[in-house]
Amino acid sequence: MQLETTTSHFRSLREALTLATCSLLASGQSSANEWQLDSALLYYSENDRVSVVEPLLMGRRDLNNGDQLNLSLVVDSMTGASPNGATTTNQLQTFTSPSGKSLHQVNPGELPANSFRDQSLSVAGGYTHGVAPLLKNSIGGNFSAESDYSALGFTDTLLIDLENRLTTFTLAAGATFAFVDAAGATPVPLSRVNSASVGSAATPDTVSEESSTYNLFNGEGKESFDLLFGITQVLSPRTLVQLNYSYTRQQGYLNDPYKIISEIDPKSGDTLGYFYESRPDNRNSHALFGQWIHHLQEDVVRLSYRYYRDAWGVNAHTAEIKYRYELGNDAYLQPQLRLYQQSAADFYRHSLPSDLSVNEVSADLRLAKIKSRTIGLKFGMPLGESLNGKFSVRLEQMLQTGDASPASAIGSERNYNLHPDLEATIIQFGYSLRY
Amino acid sequence: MHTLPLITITASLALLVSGCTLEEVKPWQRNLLAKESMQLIADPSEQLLNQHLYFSKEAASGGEGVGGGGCGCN
Amino acid sequence: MDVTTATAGLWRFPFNAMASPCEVLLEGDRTTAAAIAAEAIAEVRRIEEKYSRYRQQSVTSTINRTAGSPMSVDSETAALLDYAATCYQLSEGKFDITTGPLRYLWKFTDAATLPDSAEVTALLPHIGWQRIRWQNPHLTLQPKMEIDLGGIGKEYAVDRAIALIKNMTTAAALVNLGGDLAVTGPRQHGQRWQIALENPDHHQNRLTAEAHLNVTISHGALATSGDTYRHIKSHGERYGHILNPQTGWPIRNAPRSITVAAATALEAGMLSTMASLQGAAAKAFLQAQGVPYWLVR
Repeated sequence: MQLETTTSHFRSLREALTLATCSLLASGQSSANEWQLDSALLYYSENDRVSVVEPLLMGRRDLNNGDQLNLSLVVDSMTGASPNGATTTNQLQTFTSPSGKSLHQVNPGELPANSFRDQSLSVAGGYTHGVAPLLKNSIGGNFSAESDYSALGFTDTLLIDLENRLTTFTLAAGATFAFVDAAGATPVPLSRVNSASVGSAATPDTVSEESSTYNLFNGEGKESFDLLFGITQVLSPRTLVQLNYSYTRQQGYLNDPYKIISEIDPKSGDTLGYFYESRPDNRNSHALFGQWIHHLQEDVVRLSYRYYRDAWGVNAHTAEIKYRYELGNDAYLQPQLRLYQQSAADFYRHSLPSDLSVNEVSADLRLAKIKSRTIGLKFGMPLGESLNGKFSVRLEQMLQTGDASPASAIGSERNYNLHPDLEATIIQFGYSLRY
Repeated sequence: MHTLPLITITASLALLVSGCTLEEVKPWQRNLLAKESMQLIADPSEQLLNQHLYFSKEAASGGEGVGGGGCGCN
Repeated sequence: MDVTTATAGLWRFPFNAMASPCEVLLEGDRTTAAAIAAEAIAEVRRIEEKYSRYRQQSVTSTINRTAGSPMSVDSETAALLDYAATCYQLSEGKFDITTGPLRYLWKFTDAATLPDSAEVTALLPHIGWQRIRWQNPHLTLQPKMEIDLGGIGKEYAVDRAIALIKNMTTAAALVNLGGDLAVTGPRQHGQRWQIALENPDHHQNRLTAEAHLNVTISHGALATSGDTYRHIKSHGERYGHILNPQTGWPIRNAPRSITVAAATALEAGMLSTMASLQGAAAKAFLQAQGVPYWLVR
């Protein structure tokens, strides 16, 4: 026997062989009939408005035949106050809670908001099946319910690989049928709000609650249809790009039943009364989404951008960057930044002068001109010795700003910030394991 | 209603597929691409929770998939 | 389960699998060691049952019976086939899991004779990975073709058992399946593992050759490719059991035994097999790989 080490004309296969071995042994770990369970708890808190606690559970199971089963459950528990659309004035304003059970007063100079408390539940399931060597079909269904909203959705996604498996086309379609059943009654658009008054003093009552009786598939209907066409391309052993185009058609009752708009005096800007908002009964939207993922020596950088526009006149840009910095031993630190901006919907107005007649109007700040940025840090590490557990935590801060003093402000409106900043903290804990 | 120039999009997609001379990536060179951090959706739970969150705060949505389910908030 | 103390604080669990004597060595207390060894042995048996070509119900037998029609395979089998495909390409067609049908002609027993060369040639159209259509997870073998994962399965089982043990304990362990072995890491107090490699010369000349060659490792794996007991002698020439898929005949001038050390048993096994497939150039091949090796001509 002899022990030898020198070199010759053969090329070294070791690197390629090591990679092949690693992927064989790694695939063994994700072997069939195991559940991949993801759990997460999101805590979202606005400076002085809404707070949300949202636990989530997701399960994925790879079956023996290569098919995949997906299930998810999200529970949402929201409390707080969200702006109801009424403008800030120099008068005392009184609003009755949507259920009609309680009143609350808004002092002059404050942004009127509805306080609410609600829970929602959404469940989704999907099944992906290999139809042919290069074709996968994924069907999905989802159901969500809140006290005043219920929805049922269906999706179908086709994934088509090219022969070399470096290019994947996605064709997807979805339909969602939703019902809005507001506490009290779902209001008629542009009807006068009887439950709100200006200038009068009523007994304030800070405790306000929405109806807790679930009335599924009842109320005003709205439907949403989605089509998506996408392509994913492997550019190199380290780089992946994705490009999607999606089209959505919504129709039906698209209003937020709790959003109102102040009728103001066209000269003084003083509030005269309130109307329920009125949005168009359909909305076509387009989104173009691109993503670039690149593996550096150890780290991974991820850039994405979305362009969105719809028939309501909203144009929006969303850009995100995430840099995953590997700390070693599968732990990482990931700074992330999200930038967003949108133009206002054509029918958005912060208030409605009484000499103006409109068919469509909304003072919902979410349809206003907005800029938003979310900056955060995520940390992840393996946890648990014999379990394939992974723990992660992210901490983000979101700042959404709008036009505080629009040129269209009238009279006393000019004294106030008509679009206060929205500042929120987002904390998410995640734990996932194979089981 | 505004419509996007669909033809341009389709053309650029086609270019992406065929036009460029791509490095041929062999099956055994795909180990980095198989990592969790290289998946299109790196963290499914974060994505789902973010969708819920931003859907209730912003007018724009969609692009990453179909059938969000929505919520009563918008 | 049969258990003996190999040395102080080290438990030995011998068993038979894949037609070879096997063992799991584990440090730690006996009860824990036995429980962990049982899991590792069960994993080895699972892989043997799933891929043995001698078992009618195995995936391998099912695939071979289905030759001629398309079928889809589970993800573990798919990963093994991907690996086999990669090795086929890296070895430029020399490592091929489809040489099975040649076994009906080449019987490497003591009394065996050389097969008829016309018969060998007649089989060649049913051999060759390039004739298989493999699009994960869809596999189509041409009629009369066969696959045999024996060239990978044992090393795969070693690595899977090691991974399983690492998931259950930090105690050091060694898994040895008929001479292909791997360790989880150094023994307690940083001790290296003492491995005795069987010297094929010992069988031929008990007087001059040492029975064992001692090797020590603290990490990784060792695997051996050789034809010590499996060859045909005809007209003074040795015909080893490693067949060239392109000719259907044994590789000429292959070393009798090649042992390679690498990070995993799969790599060590594949490098030693590929080296054997180089025949006379085995040594040059191994030198280019830059791995420690032990070669016997």
